[in-house]
Amino acid sequence: MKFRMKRSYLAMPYAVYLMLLIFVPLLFILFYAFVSDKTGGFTFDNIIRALSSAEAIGTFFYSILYGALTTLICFAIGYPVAYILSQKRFKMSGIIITLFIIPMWVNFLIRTLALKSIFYSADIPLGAGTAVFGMVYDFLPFMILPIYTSLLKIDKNLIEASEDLGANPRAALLKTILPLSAPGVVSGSLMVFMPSISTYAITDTLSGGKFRLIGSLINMSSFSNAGYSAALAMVMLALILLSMLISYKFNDKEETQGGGLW
Amino acid sequence: MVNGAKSNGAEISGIKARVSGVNNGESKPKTTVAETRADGVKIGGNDAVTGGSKNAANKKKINKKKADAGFYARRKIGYYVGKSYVFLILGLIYIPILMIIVYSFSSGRGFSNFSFSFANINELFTGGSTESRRMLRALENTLLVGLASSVLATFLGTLGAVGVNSMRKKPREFMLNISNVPIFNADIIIALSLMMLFTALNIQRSAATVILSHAAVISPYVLLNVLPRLKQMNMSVYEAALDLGSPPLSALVKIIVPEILPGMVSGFVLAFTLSIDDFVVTDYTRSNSFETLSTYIYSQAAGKEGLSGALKPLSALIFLTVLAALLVFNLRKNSKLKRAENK
Repeated sequence: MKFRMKRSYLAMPYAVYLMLLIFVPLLFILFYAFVSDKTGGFTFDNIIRALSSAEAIGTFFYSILYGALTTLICFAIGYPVAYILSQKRFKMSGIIITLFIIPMWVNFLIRTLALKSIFYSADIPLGAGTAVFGMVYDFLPFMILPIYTSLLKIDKNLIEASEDLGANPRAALLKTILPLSAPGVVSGSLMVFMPSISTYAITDTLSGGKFRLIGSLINMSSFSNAGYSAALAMVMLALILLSMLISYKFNDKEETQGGGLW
Repeated sequence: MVNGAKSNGAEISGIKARVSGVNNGESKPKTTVAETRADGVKIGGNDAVTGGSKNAANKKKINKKKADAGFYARRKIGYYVGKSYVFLILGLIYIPILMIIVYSFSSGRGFSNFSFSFANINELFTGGSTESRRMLRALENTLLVGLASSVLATFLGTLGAVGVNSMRKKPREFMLNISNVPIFNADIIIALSLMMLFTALNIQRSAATVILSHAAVISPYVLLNVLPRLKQMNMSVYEAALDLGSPPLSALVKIIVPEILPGMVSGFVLAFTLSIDDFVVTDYTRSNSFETLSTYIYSQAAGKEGLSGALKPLSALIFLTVLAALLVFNLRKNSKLKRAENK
C-alpha cells in the first residue's frame, strides 16, 4: 500500500499562515494589554484605563454616536438610490452601479485629500462636520451595494400582493419592501459603521486633528503607550464580536422565517 | 481591507467582483418571475407611461382601480425625480475626481486659483524634484508589495481552497470561520497586532514584513473566490488521473488548476486591489524608510491645501487607467457574449 497524501492537507500552509499572522498576533494584543509599559510587569491598569478613563469612555461614546450618524446619513442617501436603481423600469442600472463602484478603485486617501482640497478652496473650516462628510463620501458605496443586491432578490409578487390587498405605495414601501430588504440594510450598515469608527486616516485628515474616534485613539496611543492601545483594541474587538453576533442572529432569523415577513 | 470596511467578505468580493465581471456565485442579479411576465404579456399603451415596472396583470388591476390620468402623471414625475436624484448623487461622488483631473493642468497644490500649466504633469513624468522621485518610488513599492503579496496569497488561498473543498463538514466550517476573521476584523486591530508580533519577536520591519502581512489579510479573499469554482468542478476527473498513475502534484496542476483558473484570476485581482488600497496595515508593518503610495499620500495629508503638486496628475492617471481597463474588460466580455449568442 502506497502512502497517498490526503487532499485536505493542501490547506495546511494556508491554515498555518493564518494562525501565525492573524491569530498569534491577536494573542500578543491580549498579552500586551496586561503588561505595564513602565515596569514590564503584569498589570490591570491598561484594561482599567481603557474601560473607565474619561478619555476612553468619551471616545467610545463619540465613536458610536458619530459612527451611527455616518451610517444613518449613508442609509438616508443610499437607500433611495438602491431602491430607484433596483426598479425594473430603470434601464441603465448595471452601468450606474458600476459608476458607483469605480471611485473605490481610486485610493481612498486620494479621495479624502481631494475633499480636503475642496474644503480648503471653499473656505470651509475642518471639524467634526467635514470628517463625517468625508466618511459618508468614502463609505456610501458600501451601503448602496448590499441594499441594491437584497432589493433585487425580493420576489416582486410579494409587493404586488401587498398592493392588491390595498396597500398604498407608502405602506407597500414601509411594510413590505423595507422589511424584506433588511438583510441588505444590516450588512450595509455594518460595512459603514465598522470602518467609520476604526478609521483614523479620514478623521485625522478631514477634522484637522480636532476629532478623534476609537481608531485615532488606538493609533495615537500605540506610539506612546502600547499597553493602553492594546487594551483599547481588546475593547474594540469585543464591540466587533458583539455587532457580528447581532448581524448573524438577524440573518438567521431572516432565513428561518422564510422571507422574513411572516 | 478596502479602508477597513470588510465586514462581509462575500459582500466585498461581490462589490469589486461585480465590476471586474467576476462571478463569485451571488453577484449576479436573478431574473425575477415578475420581469419575465412583464416581457411576455404586454398591454399596449400603458408601457410607456409606467415604464414597464409592474407586471402586466397588475397593470390591469391598477388600471381598473385608478383610471385617472393624475395617477400616471404622478408616477411619471416620480420616476424623473428618482432618476435625477440618482444622477445628482453620482455627480457629487465624481466632483472631487473631476476636480483632480482638471487641476492636474494647474500649477501648485490643491484646487485653488486655477492657472493653466503642465508643470505638475512634467514633474510626474520626468521625476524632476526629490519630492516627485519620492512619490514614484512609493508607487514602485506599492506595485511591488501588491504583486508579491497577491502572488503569495493566490498560492496559499488556492491550495487552501483545494484542501477545504475536500474536507468534511466540521473541519470545513472551522476553516471557513478562521478565514472570516481577517475579513471581519478591523484593520487597525490587525495592524496593531502584527506590529506587536514583529516587535516582540525582534523582527526588523521592512518591505518583507509588509508583504507577509498583506498576504495574511488578503489570502482569505482568494480562497473565497476559488471555492465556488471547485464546487462546480467534477472531482472524479482528478481521481481518474490519479488512478491512471499521475502523481498528485501534476494532477493538481494539469487537472484542477485549469478548471479553477478564472476563480484564481479573480481572486488575484481582488487581492491586488485590496493590497494597493491598504493604508493601515502597511503603516504599522513598514519601516520608516519604506513608503507605499498610501503612506506617502498620508504624509502629505497634514498640509492644509490637501493634494500636493504631482499627486494630482498621478491620481488622475490612476483613475483613467482603471476606467479604461474596466471599459476594455466589459466590452470584451460583451463581445464574447454576443459571439456565443451568434453561435
